[in-house]
Amino acid sequence: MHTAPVRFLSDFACQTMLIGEGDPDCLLGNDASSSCLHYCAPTHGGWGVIRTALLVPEMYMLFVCPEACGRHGAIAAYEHGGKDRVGYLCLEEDEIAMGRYEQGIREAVPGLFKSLKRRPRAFLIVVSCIDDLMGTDYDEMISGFEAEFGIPFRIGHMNPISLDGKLPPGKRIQRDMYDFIEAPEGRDDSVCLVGAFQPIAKEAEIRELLRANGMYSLLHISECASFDEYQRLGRARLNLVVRPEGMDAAKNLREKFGTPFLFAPVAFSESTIAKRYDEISRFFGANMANNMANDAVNSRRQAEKRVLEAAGGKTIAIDNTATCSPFDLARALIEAGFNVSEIFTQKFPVFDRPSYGWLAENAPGIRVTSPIHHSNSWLRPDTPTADIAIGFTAAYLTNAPCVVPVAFDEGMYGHHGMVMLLDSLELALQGRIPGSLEQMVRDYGLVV
Amino acid sequence: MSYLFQYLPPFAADYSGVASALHDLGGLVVIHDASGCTGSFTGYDEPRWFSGKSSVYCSGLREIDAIMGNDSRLLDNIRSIIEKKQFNFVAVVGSPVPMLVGFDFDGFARISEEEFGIPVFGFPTTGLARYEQGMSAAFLALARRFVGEPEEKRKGANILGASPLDNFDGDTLMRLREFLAENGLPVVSVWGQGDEWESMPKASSASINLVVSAAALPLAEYMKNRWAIPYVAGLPLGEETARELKSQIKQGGGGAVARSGAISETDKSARVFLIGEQLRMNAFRSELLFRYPSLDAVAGSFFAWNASLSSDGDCFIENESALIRCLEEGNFDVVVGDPLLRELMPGGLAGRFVEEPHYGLSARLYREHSLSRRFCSASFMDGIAALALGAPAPGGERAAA
Repeated sequence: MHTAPVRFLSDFACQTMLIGEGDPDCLLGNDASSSCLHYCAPTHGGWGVIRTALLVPEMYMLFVCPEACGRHGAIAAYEHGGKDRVGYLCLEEDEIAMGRYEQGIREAVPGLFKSLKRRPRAFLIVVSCIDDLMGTDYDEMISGFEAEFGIPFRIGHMNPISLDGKLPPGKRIQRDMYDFIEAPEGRDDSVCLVGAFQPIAKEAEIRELLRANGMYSLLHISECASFDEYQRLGRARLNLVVRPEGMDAAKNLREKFGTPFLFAPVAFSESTIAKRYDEISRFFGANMANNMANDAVNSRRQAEKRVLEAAGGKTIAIDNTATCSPFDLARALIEAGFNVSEIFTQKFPVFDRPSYGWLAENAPGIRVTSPIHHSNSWLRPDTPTADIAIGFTAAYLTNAPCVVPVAFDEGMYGHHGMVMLLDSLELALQGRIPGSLEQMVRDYGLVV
Repeated sequence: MSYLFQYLPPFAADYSGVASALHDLGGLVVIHDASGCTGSFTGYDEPRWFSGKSSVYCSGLREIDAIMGNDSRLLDNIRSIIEKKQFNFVAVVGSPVPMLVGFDFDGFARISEEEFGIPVFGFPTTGLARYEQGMSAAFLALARRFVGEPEEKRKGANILGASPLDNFDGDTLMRLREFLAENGLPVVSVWGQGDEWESMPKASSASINLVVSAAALPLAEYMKNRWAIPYVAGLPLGEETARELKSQIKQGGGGAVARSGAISETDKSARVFLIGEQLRMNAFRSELLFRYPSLDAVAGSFFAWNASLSSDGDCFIENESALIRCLEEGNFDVVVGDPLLRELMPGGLAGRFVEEPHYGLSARLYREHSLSRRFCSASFMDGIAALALGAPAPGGERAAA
């Protein structure tokens, strides 16, 4: 009889491995992450809790936390033009020790309503890691505020201490921000995009596919100019989740209003995209998706051919800030003839594992490297270890001279998403993306 | 009691102060947090991070570790890195969650030091205090542990407190070195940034300390008491401050360069409020009043505050609402401060606000600002005076960002 070998922490946490040879558990996932000190590259960050939540129009956020916990979000809020919608109630040690900072909140909120230039339509009180350990009950306070001010209040969490849990901050904040949606009076011919930080490009073939199924609008929260418009998201017939951060929001909306959802994360390889479109078509009871995508496939293949000529055999590094599906992106590029040499990620999501398996079989020499492993701080090369980097972290950790500044799948979906990425790669190869990596990172305004 | 920041960002925290002070010294610095605290330091409070290879890490604290007191994971993870690379020391730096669960920093440091055989510090920072407190604690810990006994012949000066969080950069340090060289004082060591690890143990051999930020005053006092090294506190920004500092150096230190308005209430023509790091604002005041004696100028700071370096009317500003009160009651004609303060200016003061970015307040938003721009910058003082006295500001350097 065989029993599973006992594994110790020291068995985990390598910095890099070849995809065809290594054990992914040593590098990817929570066990590996917890068994090393975390390096925090200057490209660390993303949309963060604040920038994400501020997508809800006319909402005000009050963070209730130690002063330090609010700093990064506040600076980012200035950078993204939202500081007038965010305040901080900074806690003192005695209040934390005695667990009695509710009184501070009860006093601060009415004061804010008096001083805010625009009265908010929704109010999110965000607590931090320490609240996870204190278990404060806010229900009564929230009900009281809702009665007093006549707008919805919610409690949000910015609690990276739960990063390895079932509801980490990135997912939780999306659940909380869509929780302001009220019960819809009916449905319309729209699909709501959940999980994405930006709308999918207008030219993307997914829109045509949805139109063919009678869905004439693909809604995204960032396009709602007012809190009333935001309520329209609740009338969608389907919530299409294209990044994993949106999963708990979609589950919550299904539970509250019965809105179905489909998890079809961003993909790049032709076969994975075809699978996604099959799933979407099946939802609508149709079987036409891949025929409809023919034009998009042709455009994509032309773009691949054109950009491949420019890239030649140059090595490409990819990271998981560029996309939630870095293994599938690598597969797509390799299938098109590009030379992918390295993938930076510490995550191993179920939806990207088939492409990991494909790569292990078909491109076993690709290095997979954890961007948070401690040795990155001294192993970062002075001379480039890749010619092209897709994503800021890959750029920083390889010192690649050619940087493709895509981030968090913004605007990308389906074959058109691949074309967008290739267009950006072409511009980078032509030296037409201005600025140093530091400038690009600064312009993007990554939020911790 | 909790306090509100409606307009301003929360300020750089104590753990950023510790990590910043240790950044260039070849140590292994571990911020014991989940992610955000380290990210705040590396992404927002540390301008050297992008191009540096310093070893500042996040412990990756998770809920289960905090609840179960799983300190052995931290110990294991530190061990695994020490086995691969040599460090001058280890520093474990606190954040809010370790404070809440009562993590024993001293005990952890003792155990770790015994096991690893290299110096280990535990800094019980909480995220509730501001950067200068962390910086002061780090400076003192380094001095107590690593500075040796002085050589027989003392020579040169230490520069204490030249932190990027107070906008000191390479150009500013060069200015300070030039000033000391003009006064026959080679630099022995620099505390705050950019110095070699090897020079720190020799700091006690300096004949005098130049303190350039209030956060370093506890260190200066410690070195005075321990090794009888006198200090002068101030910045040689221009003719007047350089003269004052030079005079104090000649006298063997022991004083500050704060300067009172020194004219009667009835004679003063306009009132300037200088908000920022205390020694920087004191230097601005000296230069301003030297050129425009009829002005009245008071200083205020959210950060390290030393009463002996303040003049009548100066004040420590506790938080945002305290500043709002100050501005309402102060009857000021011009305010100098970080650009983010502009939004708090009442009435016409917004139009008479002079920007002077402070990294500890606005972080990377105005990262290009170098304090070196204020050296020998008469036009900056002229701009302030022109606004105060009602004349149009002469082009020059009034907006810094």
